[in-house]
Amino acid sequence: MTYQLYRNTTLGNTLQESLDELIQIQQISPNLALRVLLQFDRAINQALATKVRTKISFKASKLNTYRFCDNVWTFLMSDVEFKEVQDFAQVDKLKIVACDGRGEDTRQR
Amino acid sequence: MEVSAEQVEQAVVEFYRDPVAKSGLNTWLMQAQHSRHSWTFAWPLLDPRKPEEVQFFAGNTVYMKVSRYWHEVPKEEYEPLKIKILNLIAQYSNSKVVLNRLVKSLGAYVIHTIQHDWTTAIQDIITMFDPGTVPGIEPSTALNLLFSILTIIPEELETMQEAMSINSKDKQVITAAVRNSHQSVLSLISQVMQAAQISNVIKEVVLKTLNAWLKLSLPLSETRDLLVALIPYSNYALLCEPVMEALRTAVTDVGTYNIPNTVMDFVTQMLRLRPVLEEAQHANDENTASLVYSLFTSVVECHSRLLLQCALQAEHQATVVQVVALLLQCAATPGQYPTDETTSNIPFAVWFTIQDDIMTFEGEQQAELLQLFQPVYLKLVDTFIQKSLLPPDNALSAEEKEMFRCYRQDICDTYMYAYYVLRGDMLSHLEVHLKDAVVKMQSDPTDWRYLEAVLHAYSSVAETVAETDNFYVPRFIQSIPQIPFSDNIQLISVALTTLGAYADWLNYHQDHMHHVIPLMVEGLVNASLVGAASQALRDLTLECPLTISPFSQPILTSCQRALEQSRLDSAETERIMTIISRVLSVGKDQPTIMTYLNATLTPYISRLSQLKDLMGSGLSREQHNELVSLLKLLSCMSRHLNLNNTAVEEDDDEDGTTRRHSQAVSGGPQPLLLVLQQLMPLLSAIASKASTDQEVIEALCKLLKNSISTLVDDCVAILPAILEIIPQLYEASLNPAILDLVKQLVILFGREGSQEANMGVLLRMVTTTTLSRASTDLWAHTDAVHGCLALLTASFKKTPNLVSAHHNHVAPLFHLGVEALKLPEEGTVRSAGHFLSSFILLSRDASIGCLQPVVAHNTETLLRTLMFCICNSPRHSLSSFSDVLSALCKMYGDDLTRTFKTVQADESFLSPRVTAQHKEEFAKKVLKNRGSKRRILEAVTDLALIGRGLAGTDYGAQTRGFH
Repeated sequence: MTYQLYRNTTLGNTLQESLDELIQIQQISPNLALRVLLQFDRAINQALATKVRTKISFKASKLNTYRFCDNVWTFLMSDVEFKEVQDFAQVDKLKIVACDGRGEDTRQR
Repeated sequence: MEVSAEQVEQAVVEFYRDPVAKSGLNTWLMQAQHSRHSWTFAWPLLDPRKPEEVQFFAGNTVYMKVSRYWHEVPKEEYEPLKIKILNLIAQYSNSKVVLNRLVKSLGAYVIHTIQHDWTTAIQDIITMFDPGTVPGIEPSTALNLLFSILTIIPEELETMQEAMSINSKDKQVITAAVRNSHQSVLSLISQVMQAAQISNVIKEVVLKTLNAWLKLSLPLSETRDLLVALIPYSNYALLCEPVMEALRTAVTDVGTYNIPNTVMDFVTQMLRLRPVLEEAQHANDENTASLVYSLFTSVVECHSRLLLQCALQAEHQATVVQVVALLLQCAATPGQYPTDETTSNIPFAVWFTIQDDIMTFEGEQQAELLQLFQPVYLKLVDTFIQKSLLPPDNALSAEEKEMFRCYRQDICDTYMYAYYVLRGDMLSHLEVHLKDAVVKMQSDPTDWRYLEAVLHAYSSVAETVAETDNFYVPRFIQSIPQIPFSDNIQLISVALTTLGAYADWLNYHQDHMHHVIPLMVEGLVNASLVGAASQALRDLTLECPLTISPFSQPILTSCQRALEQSRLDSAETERIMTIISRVLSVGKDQPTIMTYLNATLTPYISRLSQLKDLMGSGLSREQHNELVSLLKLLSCMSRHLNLNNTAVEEDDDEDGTTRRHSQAVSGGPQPLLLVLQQLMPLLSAIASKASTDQEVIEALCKLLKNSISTLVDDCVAILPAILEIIPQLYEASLNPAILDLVKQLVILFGREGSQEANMGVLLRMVTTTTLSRASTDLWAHTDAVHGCLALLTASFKKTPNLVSAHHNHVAPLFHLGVEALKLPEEGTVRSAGHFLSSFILLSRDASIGCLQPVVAHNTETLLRTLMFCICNSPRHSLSSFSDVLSALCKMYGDDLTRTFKTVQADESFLSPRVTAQHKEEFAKKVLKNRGSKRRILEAVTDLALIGRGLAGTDYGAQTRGFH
């Protein structure tokens, strides 16, 4: 499963900035940069699917918007409390973008 | 540059010998490699008499030239080049490192020529390297070589798009051309695998070749016989993994979705692996067992819906049942995870997939599947209870404990999926386990792990059952007081956590509350249980603000005792303060609340006051932490002690259950206000003494922010004190938490007649301080700039009267926004973008006349900054730049046309990558699409790619939409 949505994370953005810079100073070719980016997509999808075992639950005071488009769920919430075992975190606004976490092969059916 | 083989040889040798000259030589060698001369100098260097590193460099050069510089090869040179590579492969057949480069070169050559020039490449290679006929090479070496080449060709296909600049359309055509030769490759593989005299080492290479070719999506109908014939080879340790890999590649290929019958037939054949599995289990060979289980896990994950459809057909049902039974057997692998075994975790994902796919069936089909899988999931529950038993203390190392925690988490998730299939049957099943566990515990109190595992299962499904179950959950809750916990701390902790998880259910079943409260309140006064008990009660008070009200007295008493008796950590104290605040917020009169609060808070406030006095002489680290914890404690109270938040609204469900919800208002001043009125002088004193302590400032601001959120308009009474604290803090420390607090106040009171002037003063103080302190070094104060611009944006939207009231600040603030666009932090740039857009959009408003001249005088500066940032700043900020440009276009279209011309005339601006023509095209696109934010963003993205030299590249195209 290789979604590209993780490119728009701190890690993904930073990688792309670095790749942009390396291309501009001619240390790597755009083709190699693309290869790195595709590898990033594969690696982060794989890692998040298989390595993460932390369970965080959350409760929102209000679900402002929700939509399901192109197999992607989006939720916009406000006044959200996250709970991880005995730790709490409070955020004013939360946006969740959720894709089907199952394997690419399964989704292609 | 003219480059000779001798120069290259010398440079490579020097490169490895002289670390000082390494960097310069590397650049020179790379240039040499990319030059046309490398076609000439590489060949003489591929001489076994040359140093090895020189030969490797030459081999690598040949590969790079053939793969990436194919366009430099004239057609008449194709054949001589092929002969050269083939001869070198024969020559280097025993030198692994250089040979690998040469084999890859041949692979790249085949990919470039198979379409038109060497259509029989695969067959020719098979003939050329036939071990029986190839001269001068050992038959086994020739065979190894042949399969290495045959493996490399499909592998090179995978990378050719990036490495060889071949577009995806050509890639498809070339892949088809290679795939056309698959029969001869499969036939060769079949022959070699059957040949008894060939070693398993060679057969392993052959299987890797097969796997590489299977990845080309070969039809399963053609590969099936060969694959089935391979199953017996999985008995050999060396071959087991490549055989499994080949089977997996074939059966999970995308093409198999169109041939369900073939797949089912193949899966039935795959069950012949069971003897292999049994033998592996007999021999304690976990590796082989894992490989077989992983293969079947992949089959189910990939074809679960097909398997479920087949499970409804009599002729295939047995196969499906056997496959699922195999995975159930895997989950039940005996022994402790992860010390005795590491296979039972393999099929976790399968149980979700099956459950998820069963739910996609409808009506009778779903009912039939649920019936078929009911015993499977019940058995799974039994298995998980056994597998999740906690090991004896100290049986696992720290790392193993973490693995086991993850394993239990996966079990926890899978219980949830099992519940969707089993519903009441699962709870009934758990009830049987609970009774057994209680009996065991009664006969032997040391045998508590079984009971703990059952409670863990109950807690896993707590949120899933929610309020829907009215039969089994009540029985479980009622049984809690009967459980013989024998003062077992670990067990009671789990019971408390489990009950906390049922808080939502309890909110709808008030009549069961009395079964759970005693355990929780007792837990609060036990130092070992206070963590779990406070957690559970906090959940309960948050979920059931009203239903818990009748139990407020014992809860408050226990909370009070807990605070007095135990040495609590700050998280526990905060949770207890939350419980107290929530319980006091419902159904209590003000004198009662105040009496209780006075008793509870007095020691904390006294201590806070002591710490304040000590601040003059400097606090120790512990005292400082204590001060912050106390402020956080009060912050918890200010968030949750709210009488206006809870009241009763009753309605009856169809089933007669009474539902209670929150909402409504009470009269009289809020107790929180009364507390804060007493507290404010102390907070002011702390603020004046800790005005540069970031941790204290943040805790203090959070406390004030929570108080304002709770009290809303009622906080006017303490507003003068707050307005005194804020300037003290901000002038000493540009902490963004203060700006957040100011934003809240400005939004709340900025339009209220009596406070408008105060809010104006506050805003002016913030802007003056930010401009004077941050403007000189934006990079050092990026968070303050971010906060200040966010505050001003909110003020533009909610209270524009406040911003425009201070004319002399408007121009410097606009400049601050423009300068902030150049900062690297995404949040600050976004904040600056919002600020500038709001500024520009508001500037044409006749009632706020002071903004328009500022924009008009600074259009060119803004446009230059935007274009510079578009070409140079991180690309995730492009949408912010585009928003400002859109606003400028919308409100100052004519000015912008003129400004664009001025900027275009400046040839040095953004050169050399962005030419005058690029600038002109950009201006045209922006001005033409002034009504469309999306098109302006497209124009901005195009300019960003040009500015980075990425326009026209696949990388640029792939990454243009990520912001």
